[in-house]
Amino acid sequence: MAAVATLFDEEFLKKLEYLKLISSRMLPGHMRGEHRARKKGTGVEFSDYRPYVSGDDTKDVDWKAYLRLDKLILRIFDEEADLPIYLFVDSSLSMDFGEPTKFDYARKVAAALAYIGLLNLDRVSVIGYSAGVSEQIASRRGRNQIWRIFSFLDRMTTSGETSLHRTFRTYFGSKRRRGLVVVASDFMDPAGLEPAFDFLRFQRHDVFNVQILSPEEMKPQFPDEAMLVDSENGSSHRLRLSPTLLTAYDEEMKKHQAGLEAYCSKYGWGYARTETSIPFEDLVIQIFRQDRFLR
Amino acid sequence: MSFFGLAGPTMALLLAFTAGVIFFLYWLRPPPQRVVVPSTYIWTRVLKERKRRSDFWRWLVSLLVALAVGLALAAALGRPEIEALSGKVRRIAVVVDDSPTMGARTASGEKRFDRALQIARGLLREGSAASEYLVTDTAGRLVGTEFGSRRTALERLEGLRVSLNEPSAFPAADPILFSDPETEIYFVTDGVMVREAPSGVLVVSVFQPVDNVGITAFDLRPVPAEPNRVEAFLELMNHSAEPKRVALRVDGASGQTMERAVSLAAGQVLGESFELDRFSAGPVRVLIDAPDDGFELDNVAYAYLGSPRQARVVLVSSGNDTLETLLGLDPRVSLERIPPGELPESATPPDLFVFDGVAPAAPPPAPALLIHPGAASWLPVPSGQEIENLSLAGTAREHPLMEHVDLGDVVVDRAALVSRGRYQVVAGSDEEPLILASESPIRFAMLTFALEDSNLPFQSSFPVFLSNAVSWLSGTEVVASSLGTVAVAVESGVVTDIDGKAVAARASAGRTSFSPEAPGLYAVKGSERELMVSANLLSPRISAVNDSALEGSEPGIPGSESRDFRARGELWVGLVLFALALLLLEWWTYHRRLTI
Repeated sequence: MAAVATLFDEEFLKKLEYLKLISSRMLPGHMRGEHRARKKGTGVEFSDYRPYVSGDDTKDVDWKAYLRLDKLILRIFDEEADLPIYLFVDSSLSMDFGEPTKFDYARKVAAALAYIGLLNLDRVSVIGYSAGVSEQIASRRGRNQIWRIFSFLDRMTTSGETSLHRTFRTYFGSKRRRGLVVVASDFMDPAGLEPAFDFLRFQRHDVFNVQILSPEEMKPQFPDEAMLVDSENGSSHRLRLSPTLLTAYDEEMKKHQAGLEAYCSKYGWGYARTETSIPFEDLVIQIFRQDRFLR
Repeated sequence: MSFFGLAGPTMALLLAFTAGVIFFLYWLRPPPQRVVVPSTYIWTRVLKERKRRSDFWRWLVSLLVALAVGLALAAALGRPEIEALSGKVRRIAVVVDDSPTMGARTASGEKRFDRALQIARGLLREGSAASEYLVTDTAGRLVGTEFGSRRTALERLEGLRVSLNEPSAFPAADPILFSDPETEIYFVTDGVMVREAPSGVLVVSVFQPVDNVGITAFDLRPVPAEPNRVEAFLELMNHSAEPKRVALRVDGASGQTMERAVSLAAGQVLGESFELDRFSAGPVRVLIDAPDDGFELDNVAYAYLGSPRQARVVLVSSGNDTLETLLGLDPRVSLERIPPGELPESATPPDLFVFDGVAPAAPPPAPALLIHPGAASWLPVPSGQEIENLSLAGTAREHPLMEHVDLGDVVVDRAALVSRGRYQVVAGSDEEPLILASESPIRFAMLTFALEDSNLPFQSSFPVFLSNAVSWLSGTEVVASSLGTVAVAVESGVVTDIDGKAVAARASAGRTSFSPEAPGLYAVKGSERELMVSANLLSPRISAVNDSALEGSEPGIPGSESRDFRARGELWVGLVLFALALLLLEWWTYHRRLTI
């Protein structure tokens, strides 16, 4: 598998094993894989008794109790439900910057989360998006699906502008189960983020936003006088870089990040911010610590 | 407005060039570099909040500021002046004393001449830009120069040096200096060599007493009784106000050294002699070292010690017992006698010819002593007449022929009447020359009378005179000279100093002249003649650096306490400050993006 060798090499797999250990230590017991659903149902794990009522499935009646008590007692089991995880990877042109690129970084983060999710027997979907859903892999379950996801992520390429709102409307426009939505992006959406997030909020998804920026974006270093060209739409701005302007940029960037973080905090969403200079496994651990991904 | 530092056209050119360069550099500004960024989302939000200023206006403001800075600095280089600020039009003349004593160094380490230049500059800068200025000196280097701009006057001032020639006088006869009675004439002097100035001249004293012990005489002379032995004679003067202990050292050509220490009371003159028996032929230098000595030029003197060898003398005479006897008695002389008309054309010329009553038609191949020689084209021209009954009235005592010679009682019955022309008169009657000497075309001495027509042979000084003649004519030619300009009768000579370094020399009218700036021994080598020049200060008058007519006065210009000598109306300082202020403003506005 030559494709796997390029982005998800042996080094990456070692790091995944490391993350696996970390996640098991942080949340012992959960590596057995099951997520207990709220509704009681057809699972195998006993939960409680209740009196039998008409219409109940007779196969759940506890006949031994009936013989002792002469009452029909129904055994109740927790229904075991897999957690749908939707991993959105921003594949717009703006992600193709940095060393490593933000896009590579996002793909690695998505791969790691997908791996952990599959280990937990969750249902993992990976969606590449830019102006809309550009490519996706259907929902997968079971750890043996990881190689398909790796292969999918490795084939992904960058193109187009960013539109989160259009992406979510397209993807969640069809019926999808509620689940955990993880978005790995720089969140530089000219149309703004609130409409897209509101859409997710209305659909009652749990959301984890991973903002990935390159160091060059955090501390721009241009010539004194430069013509800045947007990599996505080609729009340009002629400006003279000065300490004042840099300060203004820094403030605006912080404002943008704070706005995103505030939104996530307000609705109980997860949020993590990183730069591509930071190892991706550190970010993943940070995500674990927020206790949203593994439950 | 006028420009003091640069001429008007040069200044205009400089300003235009500066403006052109600045404009060109601004015009050449490269287009902004194109930088692709992931997203301009944040930048758009930043720029939306900042009021956009027109780049052109910012460029224009920046260009104007740069032009103002550049032009202000360029104009400052030209040191502009505005007449309205610099006062009334005056005529200021500054006469700088550049006589040798102005080279004396005061206790502060500054030379009187440097102080004089400083004062002169102050006087020149004190006037207005439109005033007229003149700088002249006492050595006559700048006499006759016209009144002109201050810049020209200052340039002339910077070209002045201490003159090493003794004659110095206030240029009272300079018609330009006194052409306008309104002229303010300042005379900056130490009052030593030039002691007087015409009335109306404001004398500015730079005199400060200086300790000085100087050599006022230095010579090498044969011991009269033993012509083969030579001794050095040295005369010292202490012009300090207190006694001085002086170390003397005489250095020979082959490393021989004699040292001695002497004490001189204030004002004392002391003669010292050194026997140079151990010294080999060549340069001899005497050095004195006195504590706190402020005048270096008279602390060293040079002479040349000739080779002590037998001189081959050829006496061309039809018979003169006196000459033969006296020459034969001189232990340095190897005498040969030949009759007139038999002048040999041998390959090896003698060291000296003595012609008695005859003269060769052409200059002989060696120096010559000619006694009543008759007519020859290369000799002083005889008029054909003879004069009678002459008594010797005057002699050139400094001439080597006259050392230890007293001819006061000499009477001449009959002598040839000759034109003295360019020859040096060594001795003569009241009107006519009797003994002449010359260095050209060969070195010779000539008596215009026959020995038998005078009582010279009976004088006690005659053997000494003859011995001097042998020494001077047969030895290495050494010309003693003062510092300053030296001219010797060597055609197109090459001059080298004691270390063999070439010295700049000029040739004109069969003579070579050069200007030794310090005491030394110089060799002048021409195509046909070679001689040594010992150039020394050796002047009691110059060494007396404290003998000032201004003695006791304080240095400085009268009333100088209230005068700061700073030029009025000079704007360059203001222009530089203005440029600096603009640069600061530009720096401030640049960092706030008001300018580019």
